[in-house]
Amino acid sequence: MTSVQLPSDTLTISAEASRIEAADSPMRQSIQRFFRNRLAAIGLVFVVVITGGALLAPLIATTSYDYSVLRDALKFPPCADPKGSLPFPDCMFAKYPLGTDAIGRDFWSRLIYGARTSMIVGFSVPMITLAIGLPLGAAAGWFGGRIDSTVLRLVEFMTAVPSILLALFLLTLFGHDLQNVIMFQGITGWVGVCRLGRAQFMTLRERDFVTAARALGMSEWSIMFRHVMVNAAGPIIVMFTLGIPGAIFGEAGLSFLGLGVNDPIPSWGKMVAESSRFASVYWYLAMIPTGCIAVTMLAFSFLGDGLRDALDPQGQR
Amino acid sequence: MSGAFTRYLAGRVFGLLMVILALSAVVFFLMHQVPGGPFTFDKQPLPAEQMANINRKYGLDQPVYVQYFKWLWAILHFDFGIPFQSPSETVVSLVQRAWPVTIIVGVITITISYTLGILFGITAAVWQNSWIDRVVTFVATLGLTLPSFIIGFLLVYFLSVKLRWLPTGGWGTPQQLIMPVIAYGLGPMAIVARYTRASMLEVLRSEYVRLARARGLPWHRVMFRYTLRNALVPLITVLGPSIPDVLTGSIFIEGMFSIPGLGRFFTSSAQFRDYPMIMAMMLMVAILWGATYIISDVLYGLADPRMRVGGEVR
Repeated sequence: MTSVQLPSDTLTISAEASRIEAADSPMRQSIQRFFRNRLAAIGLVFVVVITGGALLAPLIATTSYDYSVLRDALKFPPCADPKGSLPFPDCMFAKYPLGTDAIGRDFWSRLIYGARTSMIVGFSVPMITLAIGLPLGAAAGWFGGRIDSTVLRLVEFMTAVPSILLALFLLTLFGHDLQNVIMFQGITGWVGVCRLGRAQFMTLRERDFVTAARALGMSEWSIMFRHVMVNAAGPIIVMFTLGIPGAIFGEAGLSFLGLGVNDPIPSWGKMVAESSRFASVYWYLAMIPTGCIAVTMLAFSFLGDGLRDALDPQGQR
Repeated sequence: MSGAFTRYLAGRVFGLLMVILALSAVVFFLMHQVPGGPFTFDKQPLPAEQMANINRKYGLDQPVYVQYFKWLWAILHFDFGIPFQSPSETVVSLVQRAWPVTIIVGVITITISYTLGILFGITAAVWQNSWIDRVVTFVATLGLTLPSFIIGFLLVYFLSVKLRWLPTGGWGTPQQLIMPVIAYGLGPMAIVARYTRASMLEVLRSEYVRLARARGLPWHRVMFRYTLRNALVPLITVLGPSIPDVLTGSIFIEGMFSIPGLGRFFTSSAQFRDYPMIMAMMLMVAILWGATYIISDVLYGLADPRMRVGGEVR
């Protein structure tokens, strides 16, 4: 491979690559690379389906998630009923498509609203970590000096104890509900974003386009927002996407321990914990939310990995 | 070299101590600041006189900062107090009773998962793009993404409930260890396998390995003398940090398989507002993590001369 190294190391043109891909913009190339990755595309499809289900939960669910009919507790889904009452096509339209849980709530509706809980947590937690970690990291990397060492002290402090334990501790002390699960996971989980932001801003600060912008008289702040931010966006988007399964895992785990969202709000982790007691007979009650967690986590991870490969072709896996 | 190294090590240890001091102060004040206390009960609250008595007995009637310095003084004398959730023993004896269980599970998990992870990673890299490689990558992805309690539930369902091969939980027999170790070890194994594979591939493509091959050295010599040695060094930074995680026990695994280890005290201590136990656990975790980071950095420096501090070559 012949490559032309221009005096500034910002512009390395590979002769072969430029001939083939000269017509396409970097964005188009990234999109093409993304869809060439089959797993990432499948992940994207699942993410769209799950997010759509969470958004349209009231339309898809057959009843409310907290409507309990004790008389109907632990009904089998029509298709799995050992007595075999209904053939397959009808069971989708039955009163309880997936049966009921231990206190007679429609399992299908709870599953759909559980997706909503997961998605709310999944998107809010990375938002909070981004809101805390990125400004800190950016300031540390850009200004350096005393700001940098202060932020580094703070990071060191936060990494002394694993974040999930810290969140667990805060949740047991301050009480647990959906809001606190999101808040405490966010407060304890920003270190990764901060490190990434710091590294990005630190390396980008030395690049020639920053010097050029400065020479043209651009203010420090507009360089940061107009130029550096845009160049740091790729890895940060990837970090955000990979933070989603992490947050979903955290919520499911905390709810599994009984320290997550409170009844009657459904959560997949809580459903696994509640249903595993009946696993010998009502195996599907625990297996279905288990599958949901697994599929969601895998989908978001594949999507994140795909985005990383698409946005950052040089980066190693 | 050795002078610089001692100074570096002393600096790191001092930094760790400072962090732990700050952390302990924050945690101490935070847990005392939350309304309620260890002896506040919603139902049948204690009479005021009794409450005052208990608070005086445990020193809870003093200002928080006095309590903190008293605690700090006691810690220096290795006195961690009495756990409120089990007042008939000391924190030290409770940890002595519960930690060995966690350590046994942890050591078995680490040994098996790291060995298998490295072996799988090497195999996948040597036969890159073969079916072995695909299987390893697939299993590693599953292990990385699936939460341990999900894996644990699947194991219990298939191996205990359906096939009735293994007991669902408990402690005492080797059979009861199998499922916790699998559920717990799959994650670390996946991480290790993935990193080993990436590292091996990088080294296998390097010029000195190509040269060794071109010179006609036998395969095993190329593998062991040239490739493995260099490929396994970066793993130190990956292997290290998951050790304290395993040694302090997983709340999920220990809860799910009813293992009488340390894990459950992470939740129960906070729930009971068991101040001495919370502080002891916090100290343990922080020291373990900090020590692991320092040790893995030092080991990395020993194994890779380029990383040495104050080394002659720069």
